[in-house]
Amino acid sequence: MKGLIIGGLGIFHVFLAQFAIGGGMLMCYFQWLGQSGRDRLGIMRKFIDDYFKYLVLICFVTGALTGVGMWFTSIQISPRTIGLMVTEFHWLWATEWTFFCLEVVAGYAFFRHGKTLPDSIRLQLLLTYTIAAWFSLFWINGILSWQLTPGTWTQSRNVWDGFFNPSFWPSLLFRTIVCMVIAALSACVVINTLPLPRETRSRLIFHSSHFLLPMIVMPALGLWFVAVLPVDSRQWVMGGSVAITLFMNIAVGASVLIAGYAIVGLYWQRLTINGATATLLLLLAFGATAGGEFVREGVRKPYTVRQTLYSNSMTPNQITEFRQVGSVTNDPYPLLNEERYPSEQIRLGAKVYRLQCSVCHTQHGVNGLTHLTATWTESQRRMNIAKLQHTKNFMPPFAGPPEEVEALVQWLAWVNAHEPSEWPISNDPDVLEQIAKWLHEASDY
Amino acid sequence: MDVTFPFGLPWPTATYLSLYVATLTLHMLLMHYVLAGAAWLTGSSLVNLRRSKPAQQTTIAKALQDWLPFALGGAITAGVAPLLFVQILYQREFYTANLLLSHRWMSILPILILAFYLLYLQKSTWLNHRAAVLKPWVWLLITSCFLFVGYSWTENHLLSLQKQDSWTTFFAERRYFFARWEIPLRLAIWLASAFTTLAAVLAWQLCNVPTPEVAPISKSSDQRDFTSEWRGLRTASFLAIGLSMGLSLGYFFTMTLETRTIVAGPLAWPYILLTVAAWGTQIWIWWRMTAPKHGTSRMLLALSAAVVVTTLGMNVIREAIRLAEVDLATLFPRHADAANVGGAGVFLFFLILNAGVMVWVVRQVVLHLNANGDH
Ligand code: HEC
Ligand code: HEM
Repeated sequence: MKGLIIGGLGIFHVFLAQFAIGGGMLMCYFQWLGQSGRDRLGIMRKFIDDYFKYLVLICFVTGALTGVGMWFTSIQISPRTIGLMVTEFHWLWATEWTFFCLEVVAGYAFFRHGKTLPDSIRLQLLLTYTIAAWFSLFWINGILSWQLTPGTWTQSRNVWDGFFNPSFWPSLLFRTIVCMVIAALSACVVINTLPLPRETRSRLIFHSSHFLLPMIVMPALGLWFVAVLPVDSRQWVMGGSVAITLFMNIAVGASVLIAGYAIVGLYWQRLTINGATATLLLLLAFGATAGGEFVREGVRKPYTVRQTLYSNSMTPNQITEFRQVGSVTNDPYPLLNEERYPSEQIRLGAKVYRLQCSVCHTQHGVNGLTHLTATWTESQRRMNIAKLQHTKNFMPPFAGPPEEVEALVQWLAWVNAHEPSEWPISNDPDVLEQIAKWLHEASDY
Repeated sequence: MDVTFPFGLPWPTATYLSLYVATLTLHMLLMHYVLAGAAWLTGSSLVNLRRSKPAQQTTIAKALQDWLPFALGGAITAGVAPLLFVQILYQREFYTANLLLSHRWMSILPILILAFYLLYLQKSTWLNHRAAVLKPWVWLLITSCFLFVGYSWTENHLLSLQKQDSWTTFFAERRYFFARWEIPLRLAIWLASAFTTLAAVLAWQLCNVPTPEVAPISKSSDQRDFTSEWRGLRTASFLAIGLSMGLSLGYFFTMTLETRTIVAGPLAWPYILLTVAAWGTQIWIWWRMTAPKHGTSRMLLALSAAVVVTTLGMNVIREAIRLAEVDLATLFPRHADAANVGGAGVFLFFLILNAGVMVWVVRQVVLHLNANGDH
């Protein structure tokens, strides 16, 4: 559930941030058109000022705060993941911060005084703003792509090996083009809200449409990205997971529609575009961003940092340790309403669920464990949980001794039976031995 | 803790602590302008409500209204750096407090977004023409938002200083608020010191900030009115410094003896001295500057320096209180680990470069505005 929140916030944030970057690029282009004599109608300055107002109003504070929001949500979902990211990359993150500061100062200087400044200074400010904004993408892109493809970092632990990882360049270039697309489409929306003569409007739209042309190379970049994915992640995209494949198709489909309209309609045939269509295309771009972010989050499973940290905040070493000593033995936090549970065993099961499963599952709701296991027999539950990483490859291995598997199985059965006030203890040594065998068969931990 | 901050600590810890305090000071200065600025506007607009004849908006009010959105953007951006370093320094503590406060903690973000758009609403012609009577109440709402955010940071900070037992209890009792008498007290200290910063920045703005609305002194037609605003600033600053001192002293005596010994010991006493000296300097400068005049730039520079030193000093003392309460030695290995990863050089390089570019950007704009005389 929390995953959905970070997903939603993430999409919103990514969209705003990309708008901020692409918007800067577009205005640099327009400013250049204006001052190099290519702006016969003399419309660029005014349009840039109008467009920038939207950019500041939407991106400056909301973009920054959704960014901080991402950070806070990540802490809520997986403090270990964000902790590891901060520890490994804090200097690069701090570097990104210096670019944020520059972005805000240059952007605000333009916003306040741009109208009265001569063209040369305007272009300087816009370029500074845009370079700063793009570099913030540069830095964060390295950190995010490292989560998926840490590459040689897993051995060397060198920050630059992690940063310039296999998917760094394809995703940086891909995202840069997405920035341009969002900027062009939002410009078309803004153009339609301004009271402009027809000729002016179509001129502005024609120039904006240039920013859609790089979409031509998107398929190649997409293939490059998929090619550098690890084999198991790639198989999620290629049909291994219905949901991820579906979102992938949404992203691709929406992009194809936008590109088709842009290239054939706007550029080739020089059609104009009305406000409604522009908004629709922008919504499609939002959909594509959403699909893309979902895929990015999805293909990482069962890791948050590949081969280093599982989605439920366990490291491979910890799994070995927990198999011996138990995963919740040292958990200082009690269950809420402890007295509700009929026995220590069920309490143990509930704690194991909380620690190992609740990041991705609920009890009854989204991806609810009761529904998923409703038709299974008790021994199927034992085996499938003991061999969790084979039951569905999105899941990490079970991290605990056979007693914790059995406690979890009993807790599930108790929840499925609508939480009666009494429940028998299950401690048959043969059962525990069988579970131990399954645990062993499933992995080397 | 028998050597002055940040010396006597392993170098990774000392480095991260210094960066944390330095960047937090930047955040605090901007936050001061936002918090005290909104409070100022609330107060003055509520007072105006009681007048029969609607008063002209003062120069200060105009400047504040004009600059608050930017200052808020700046405060938020500046907050990102200490947020990063606090996660290196006190990772477990900070995360635990975040998780325990959960939704309550996260609510500061939508509230800040709301406050930001309300700031723009205050500037909009729509509100000014249609519903001007609402303005004081909107200011009140905005100030409450900022106070809530400040309150939450203090609450989170104090919760992060607790030990495992009280975290466990907090969790088991499903509490949403960490109610402590220290919270209002600390908040009052921050609010009071916010007004000293605000007064100093407004002094600059009254004298020469080239905003379209604020006329420079030389062009002001109503010199007398201006002087009265200046007097308001002076009074506010005197009151705020007095309050900051009094409240800080009060806070000091409510601490445990152990904490007090450490804070007033070698670790932080030079900073206590520095802060008091900087307060004194502020009082002296305000005493001397009875009215806004040309050629006061040097005084204003000295005043600003004193404000920065005050804020820095208070932040070190704030940190000394934390150092007295956490078991610092257990954190050293973590800091050493973090210091092992690369990238510090890149940070330093871009810090200097980008700071230079920022100065250049501002210079470009200011030079042009001055050349054209259009403020
Ligand atoms: C990284 C996230 C993640 C974690 C952690 C996780 N799961 Fe899953 N699990 C999934 C996903 C995704 C599915 C697939 C759901 C679907 O097919 O609709 C799944 C499916 C299942 C299923 C149904 C499998 C089937 O074949 O139908 C069971 C049972 C299950 N999980 C139990 C658990 C238990 C017990 C734990 C904790 C020990 C756990 N999971 C931890 C992500 C996770
Ligand atoms: C206008 C909004 C804000 C106000 C009024 C505000 C106020 C405060 C106050 C009063 C403190 C000191 C708490 C104490 O010591 O008692 C503080 C600390 C801090 N603030 Fe802000 N803040 C605001 C926004 C932000 C934002 C958006 C961020 C993050 C980007 C941020 C980052 C920090 C950090 C990291 C600390 C130090 C916390 C610690 O060490 O525990 N602040 N803030």
